[in-house]
Amino acid sequence: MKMEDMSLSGLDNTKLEALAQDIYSDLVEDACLGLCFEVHRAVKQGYFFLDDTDQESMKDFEIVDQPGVDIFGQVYNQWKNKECVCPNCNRSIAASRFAPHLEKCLGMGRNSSRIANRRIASSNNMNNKSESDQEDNDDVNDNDWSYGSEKKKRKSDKVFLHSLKQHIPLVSFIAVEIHVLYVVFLSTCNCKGANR
Amino acid sequence: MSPAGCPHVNGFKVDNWKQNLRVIYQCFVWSGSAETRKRKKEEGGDPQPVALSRPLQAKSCICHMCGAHLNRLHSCLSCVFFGCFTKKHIHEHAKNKRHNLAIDLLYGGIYCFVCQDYIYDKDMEQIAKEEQRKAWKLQGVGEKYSTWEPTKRELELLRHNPKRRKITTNCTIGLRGLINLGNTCFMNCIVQALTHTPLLRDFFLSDRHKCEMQSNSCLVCEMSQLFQEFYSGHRSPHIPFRLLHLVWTHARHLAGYEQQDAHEFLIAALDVLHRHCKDDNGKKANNPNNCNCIIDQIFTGGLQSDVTCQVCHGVSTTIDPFWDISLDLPGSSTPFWPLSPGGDGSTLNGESHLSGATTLTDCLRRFTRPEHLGSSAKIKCSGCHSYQESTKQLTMKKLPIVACFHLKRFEHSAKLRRKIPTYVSFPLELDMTPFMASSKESRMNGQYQQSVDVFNNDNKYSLFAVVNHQGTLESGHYTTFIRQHKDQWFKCDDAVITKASIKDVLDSEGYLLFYHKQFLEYE
Repeated sequence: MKMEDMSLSGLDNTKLEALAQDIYSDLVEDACLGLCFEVHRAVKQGYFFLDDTDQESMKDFEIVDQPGVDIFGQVYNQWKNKECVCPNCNRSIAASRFAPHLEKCLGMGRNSSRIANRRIASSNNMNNKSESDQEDNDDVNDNDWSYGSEKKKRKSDKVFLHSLKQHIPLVSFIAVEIHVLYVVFLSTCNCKGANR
Repeated sequence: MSPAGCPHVNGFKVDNWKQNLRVIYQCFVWSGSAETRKRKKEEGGDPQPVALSRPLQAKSCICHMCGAHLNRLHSCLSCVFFGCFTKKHIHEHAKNKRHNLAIDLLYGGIYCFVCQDYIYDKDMEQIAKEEQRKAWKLQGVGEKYSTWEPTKRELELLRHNPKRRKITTNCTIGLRGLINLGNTCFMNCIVQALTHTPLLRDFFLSDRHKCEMQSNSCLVCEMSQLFQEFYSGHRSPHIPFRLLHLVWTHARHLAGYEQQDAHEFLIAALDVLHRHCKDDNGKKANNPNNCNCIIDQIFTGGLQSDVTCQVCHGVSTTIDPFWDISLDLPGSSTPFWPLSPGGDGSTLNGESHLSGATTLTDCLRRFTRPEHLGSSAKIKCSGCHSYQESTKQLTMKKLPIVACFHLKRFEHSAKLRRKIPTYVSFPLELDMTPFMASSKESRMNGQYQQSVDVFNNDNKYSLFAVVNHQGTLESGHYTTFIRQHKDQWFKCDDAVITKASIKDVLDSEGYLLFYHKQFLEYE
């Protein structure tokens, strides 16, 4: 089509429509050409087929939607025996008990060796009564996880040991198995969003 | 020479070929200026390249044989000749004159008549790219987005490793369970939300983190490793013990017997990631407001707080960054209704709170309502130079790419500790426009009905993750719904991943709601 100067004002509607249609189809053709160039370049440069996967291996990853199994087709609750290695002490720990282990291992929980050491250190300097008072307040206000099934046992033990604490001197108090203390002093009520 | 190039360009690449090629691109392919620029007269020196105006360009680009301007015009690279491609006029010229190369005037591709194909020469493409960038800049169009292309080395690697994993619908890639390490579902639920945040996933899977931390304790590296685990295709649940260790090491306040709340974990994790990311930004700026790490790019928004003096009506404005929005719920000890002081609030946006369940929009309206601060909390007004009563209002100044809404279900007031189980309905698609600072201005001018601008996509969000807490304050359990593809949702319950329906998601109680911007703008 030869190019010529045209004035649009003299044209009627059908001619204008036809012009618009021409321009539109030119634009569409140009756009398609652009896409062709992209594909051509990708093929020539060698990256067009790069992301092809083979159908067979993809079948392994199909989602399963059946009751009683997860999306991989696995039965629930078969992961009891998983283990991991603690990055702090390098011991092999059961995965489902890793968090409480790490808490003690890093010395972050209230019943851990760090705090016990601190108690021992400061008991040599201060008198016993003030120290145990501080510890009492510390324990009462602590928030904690709760282990649902162990609730009942804990309450009675808690009362027992709490009164025990007030009479036993601090040094022998620490001598009691830390592990037992840990189980006993988990509080039951004051956890925001605590988990089982 | 790359496999896509050809040896016939060597005849062309002599003398001042680069400059000549540039002229062709500037004048006939990508013209820069919208107006005619004055031509400089050649005075014996090298001809100056001049950008032609587009009307002028259009008029001069016609086939020298038939006068047509369509038909895929090509320009000869060795002389001044334009010819149609479809009518083969340029082919004739090439044969007659033995000029082997021509350039397509529409897209700038180089055609070799000996190879009889378009060829892609690295040097010539470089020039083409530069000229296009210059022209677009002149026209104010901005930069052209170029999709990723593998380098030669990457192509080699990809060819040697043909195994591919593609995330398609109905595919488990990207989904994986997480072992509960002992009441760590608060962490697992957040990990599921983060690993399914599209931008974060793309960042880590394209290996963008370049670690500069000396020790092994970079949380961002661990995050990167986590994404590898999730997209590995492994079926057995992952054991996130290293992640727990790192987070507790870097956020001591979280560890041990402290409150194990998913929301607190999210904020602490984002904080540590943000701190560790700063190290690989190049600029070791200590200014928290100036960080451009991926965490800030995705999660940081700006909250505007306007305090208006009731006497002189002067407004004092501050803007604070935020990673999440914590929303009060009806049923807490602070009153929820009415939404605005003294007014019935419910007529804003045409909704009525009497019609049923509280919605997320209700909570957001309450969050952005003007609040009378009362006579006991007078603010020093810089206009009045004295303490005056005032109203305060919060609005969104800058929306983050991922907006996290925290429904404050756990009440810890002096009198009681409890969980507020009020059902709050939340939408799949959310428009944040009514809560923007800019909308507030129009509301203050008396326009109460927000006219919805259907072409403004800036503030539209899509739900992609919901963290739920089941149970009571004393003992509960966290789970997450995540969206893998549009309308395909999954429930993540520690080690067990199952398919979920949209109805399951929308009927759930909701504790943390994650929304992703629908449209991303390039800066």
